[in-house]
Amino acid sequence: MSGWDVSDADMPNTPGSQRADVPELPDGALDALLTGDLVTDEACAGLQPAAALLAALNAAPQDGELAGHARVLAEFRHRGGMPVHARRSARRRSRLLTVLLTAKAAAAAAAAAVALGGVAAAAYTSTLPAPAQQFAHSVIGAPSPQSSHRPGTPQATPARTNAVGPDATGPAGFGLCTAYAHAKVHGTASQKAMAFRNLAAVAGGAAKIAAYCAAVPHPGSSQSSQSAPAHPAGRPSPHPTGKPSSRPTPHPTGRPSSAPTPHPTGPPSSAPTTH
Amino acid sequence: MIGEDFPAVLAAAQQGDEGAFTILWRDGNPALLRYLKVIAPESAEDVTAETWVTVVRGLDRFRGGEDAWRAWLFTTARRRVLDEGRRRSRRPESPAAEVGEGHWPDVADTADQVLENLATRAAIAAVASLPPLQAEVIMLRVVAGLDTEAVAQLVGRSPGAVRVAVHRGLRRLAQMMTEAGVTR
Repeated sequence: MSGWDVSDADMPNTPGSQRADVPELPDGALDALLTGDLVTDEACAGLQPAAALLAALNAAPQDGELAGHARVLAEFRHRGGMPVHARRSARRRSRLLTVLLTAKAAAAAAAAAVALGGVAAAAYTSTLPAPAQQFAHSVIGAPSPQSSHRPGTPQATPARTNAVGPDATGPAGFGLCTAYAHAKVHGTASQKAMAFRNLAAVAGGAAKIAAYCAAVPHPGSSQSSQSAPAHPAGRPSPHPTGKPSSRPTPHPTGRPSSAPTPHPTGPPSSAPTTH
Repeated sequence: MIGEDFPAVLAAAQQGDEGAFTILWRDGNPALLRYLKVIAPESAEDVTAETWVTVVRGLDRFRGGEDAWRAWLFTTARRRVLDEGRRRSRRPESPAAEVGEGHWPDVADTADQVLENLATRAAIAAVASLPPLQAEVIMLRVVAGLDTEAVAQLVGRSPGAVRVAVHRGLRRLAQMMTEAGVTR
């Protein structure tokens, strides 16, 4: 028999029908195996060697298992039917977020800023020093050179191990402000909106963004700068003056050149939902 | 698992917050992939992506706690597999064939080293070598984190049948581990 297509006649639901050799495993015994406790139930004592294997099943996310974030995020952005009130009361939402989201959610907000793509993300990654880059790695799951994962370690999602979260006044905050500044100049409308929203959530409200960013220190400096400059290195102006004959290069839009396809394969209309 | 923050994270995601949605995705995606590698190894990545498309589209309408959320996630994935006939038609000949050289622990290893050396990939392959029902209920209980009742509902069996299948599968896995430790 194929195995997967076992008919109900072969494996009936009636309790007791297949217990000739093996009894029901008490839920507590599995819990004990999962948490690494010794299985005290005598009948289940022989299961102990499986504990290591179960721990490996639940090990922390590995390379490739957090790929595809951009694709699913694109889908998330383009979903229809966002509640009207959500669009209308951005202020209320950011207040709500400030209250509701803990530090680790703020970490994800920083991840969203990283995921802005295009100019903002490039600025973010190229501006930030190593510690913040490391933080970005841990939040968005990019492979990190020194965090070689130990396969057998009992599972812990990074979101959970990152209980401390980003120091919103530190490098992560600087990154949010930088991403916002870039999006404001170069980004598309949706990038602007998102960068704004992320920042508002961390700053504690839309009205507090300016003050917040002014107080965020540059990660490389020991003292607070007056404001978070979008171009700390003083890049040359993209619009050279004094050469009227040559057309200035068009302003980059900041739109990511490789937009993820929002609709993966499969007919969405036939997708079953539980609702 | 997200835990006590789940209601807040879900609410924020439903209002369009990408950071909050990212938390949900990061929490669910690895488990989803591992589960699908057992029940539909050849299309695990595709089904995972399609599952998220469905989930994103139904997100606003979802109501419930984290257990219900996970049940929805895995039910959606399972339906996609079943509806499109992508379920694995046979199980691998032997777990060792899929695991390959160098993944099984050496006999000299202590229990701790076994724990550290046993790769997740090898563990998934070992579970995939079990009879299908046993493999699936173990993945749903262990990786999806669903309780027996939820698993029973999901696979259409009685809770008793699920507990038996879990027990049988675990016995076989324990046996594999013991043999691997003795024969190498």
